[in-house]
Amino acid sequence: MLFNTFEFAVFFPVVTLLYFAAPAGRRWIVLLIASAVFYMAFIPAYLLILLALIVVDYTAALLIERAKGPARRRLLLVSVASNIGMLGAFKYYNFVAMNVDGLARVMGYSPSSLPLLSWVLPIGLSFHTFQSMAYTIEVYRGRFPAEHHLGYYALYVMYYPQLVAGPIERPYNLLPQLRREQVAEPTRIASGLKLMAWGLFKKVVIADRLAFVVNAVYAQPSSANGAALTVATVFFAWQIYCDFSGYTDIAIGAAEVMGIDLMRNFRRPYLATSTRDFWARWHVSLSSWFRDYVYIPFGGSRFSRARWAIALMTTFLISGLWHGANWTFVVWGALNGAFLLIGAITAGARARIRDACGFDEVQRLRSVVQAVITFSLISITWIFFRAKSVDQGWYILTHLLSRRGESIAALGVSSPQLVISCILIAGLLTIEAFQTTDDPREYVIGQPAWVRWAVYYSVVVLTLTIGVFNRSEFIYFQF
Amino acid sequence: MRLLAAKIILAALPIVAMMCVNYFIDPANLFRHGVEERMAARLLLGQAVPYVLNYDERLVQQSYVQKVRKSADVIVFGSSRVMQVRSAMFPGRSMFNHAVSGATIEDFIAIAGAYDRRGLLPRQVVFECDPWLFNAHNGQQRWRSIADDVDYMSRRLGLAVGWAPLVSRRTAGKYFQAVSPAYFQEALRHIGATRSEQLSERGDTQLLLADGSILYPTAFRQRTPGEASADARRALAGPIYSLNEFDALDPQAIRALDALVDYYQQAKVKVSIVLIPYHPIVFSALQSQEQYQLVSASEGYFRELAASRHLPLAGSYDPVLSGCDETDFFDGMHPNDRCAGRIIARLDALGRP
Repeated sequence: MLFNTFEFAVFFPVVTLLYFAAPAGRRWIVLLIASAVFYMAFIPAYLLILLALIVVDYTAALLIERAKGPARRRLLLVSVASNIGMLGAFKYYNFVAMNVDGLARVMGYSPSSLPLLSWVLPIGLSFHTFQSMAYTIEVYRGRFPAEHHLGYYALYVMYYPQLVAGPIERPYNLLPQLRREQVAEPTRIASGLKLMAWGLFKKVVIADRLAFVVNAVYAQPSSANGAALTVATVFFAWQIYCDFSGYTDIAIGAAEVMGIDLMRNFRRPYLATSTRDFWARWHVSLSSWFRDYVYIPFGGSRFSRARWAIALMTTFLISGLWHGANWTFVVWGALNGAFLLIGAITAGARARIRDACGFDEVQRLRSVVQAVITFSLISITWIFFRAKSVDQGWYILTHLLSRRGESIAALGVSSPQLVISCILIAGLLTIEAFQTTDDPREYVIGQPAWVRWAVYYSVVVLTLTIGVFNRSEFIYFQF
Repeated sequence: MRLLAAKIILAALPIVAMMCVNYFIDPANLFRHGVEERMAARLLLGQAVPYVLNYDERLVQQSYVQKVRKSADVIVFGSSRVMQVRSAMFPGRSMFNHAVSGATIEDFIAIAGAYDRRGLLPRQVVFECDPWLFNAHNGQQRWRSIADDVDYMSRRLGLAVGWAPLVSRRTAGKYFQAVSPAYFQEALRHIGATRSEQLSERGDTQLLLADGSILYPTAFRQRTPGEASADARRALAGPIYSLNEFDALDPQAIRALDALVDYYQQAKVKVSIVLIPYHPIVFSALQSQEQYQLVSASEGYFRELAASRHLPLAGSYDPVLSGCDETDFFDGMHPNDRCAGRIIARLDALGRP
């Protein structure tokens, strides 16, 4: 079930009413059934995969808690292997098989002829497996007690607002909240609904409108001139941000209505002044997952510079693969890792240059320039994220300044589409630039009623009049 | 409490306003009845029908056949790609064009069935065959609104029956449309428009002509090749219309077309096939992209069918083979009257002794 559909507009209030109407001790049942219904709206049979993993991880955590010595580690491995195995089978098997085949051909051997599977990737698999692994790892580390109630644990994995595209929660944040008796508090409900409306606005008004332009150019990049490729690349950066952060806002808002605080996933990432800063603001629940469970265990920055570089690159390569079984995502991860690495290595030299120029004294200008440079670097990485193949990504990257090819208008993008898209991006950038926190609702807090209602109506009216309602999926659903 | 009630009313106001606009403006006539019957009645009187947004084309065809006294000499089955075929292209004979958007084999069967129920037969049928006819994943469901005729004729042809019973899509869907923002946007566009009758006098609106063909608004008919090419490129942004997931020629659809050809040939009705070209830009993509390879396989099948059953066949998905170029298209998929006329003239020439 997509958040931007009529089905969800009916589903959400009905579930919320049932949730608050149910006795406090039985609310988990309402949410669990609702989450199952929500998940089964995609491919019903895949609920069985989810349930199987829930049973494995629930049991493993209970046993880890009781076990001593090496047995704990073995049990953790069973849990992690189950999750990774499921991911491997559904998401990476075909990728590996095709590459083994390709490699065999290149090396002059006969093709391995590994059969390809035609399974559809279960929706949200990458998200809920990571959330499950976070749970068993935390239990293993002794930072969180195993959940003894199977229903609550199942709800931790399946809680529908964040089931299919995050935020990837940690047990210490979500599980206690699911157990707590929540009260239907009007202020909180209103606050959650506002965030949901804002998320929907970003998805259907901005992201889906930018998609028209991006799709038109990326469908035929070899026909496009450099300007068209550049516009599409910049637009895609905003499209994916509005798409994913819009989804996250709806998820966080929906949970907030039910009295549950999910972790923030985006902190105005395009205001970041370095790629390192960007990764502290973008998809925070995933980047912190990689930091806690991959980067730090690999050594982080505690050892030699070489080992740190290896840990960093490994983390980003895995992060790339997490997004998709395609070399384009590996390149995307590698580029991000490389930018971070170069950023850290050149930090001292850049500081000296800034000192020499007196650039540090003009703080605001410095931040703007740094944000523009960071945005440009990140946009370059997005090219490979969006491209169908590494070759296509390379072609786009090397033709951004080319004069050859068709203009964006000749590729079927009308001027009004282009103008509206630019206005929407500029509007969002302005709103985010003047926020003092990462929460856009700050603009209406403390304002007179007429101002607040004018803002609400503006968002609703714009959504209804220029939103794109074609049931388009959220980009991150594919992961 | 009073404050909370006031807030709820205020919050609901835009949604209620949207529902009112959707219901009262009703740009697709979902909440008004009998639009299709009235359109068919006008066609039977020999009058053109100004554009009505989102009417059910299939119900118009069904209603037309239910009321027509005798069949036209030539009837044309096909999709919107053949809607520019007009009676003037068949000198000395009457013609009715039964083309409906996104036509599939079920639409052919249904319209043939509607004639069969009335005991009417034309002298000639022209099947305009699109490549998606044999794509089991073409995503077309619109024929379900005339599923009763599909079911009837499938039995007559000895095909597997048991098509899903007719659940009126319009009835089921219309209440959702009352709360649909997409429908609201359509209604807003509709509010500013002048009455379609007035527009049609100036050639500003689309007309469904008395011979079943479509006359597009002047501005659309006069599109430059550049505009058509831009549209063609836009079409390439996503999967090409109804050719998504085209993995194999659908054996069930092949059997159905075979049976329909048999039916007409046994009744001594002349059967011919036309293939309508795609815009050169779209055709080039169809040729070069692996996922669309079955388009040429479809054309190959239609040519084999024509050869084995001695059916005249004119045209091709390839614009060059059809004698059309980029100046002959409105957009990526729809050729203009000139191109359609050339193909029909060639078909006529093939049919002559």
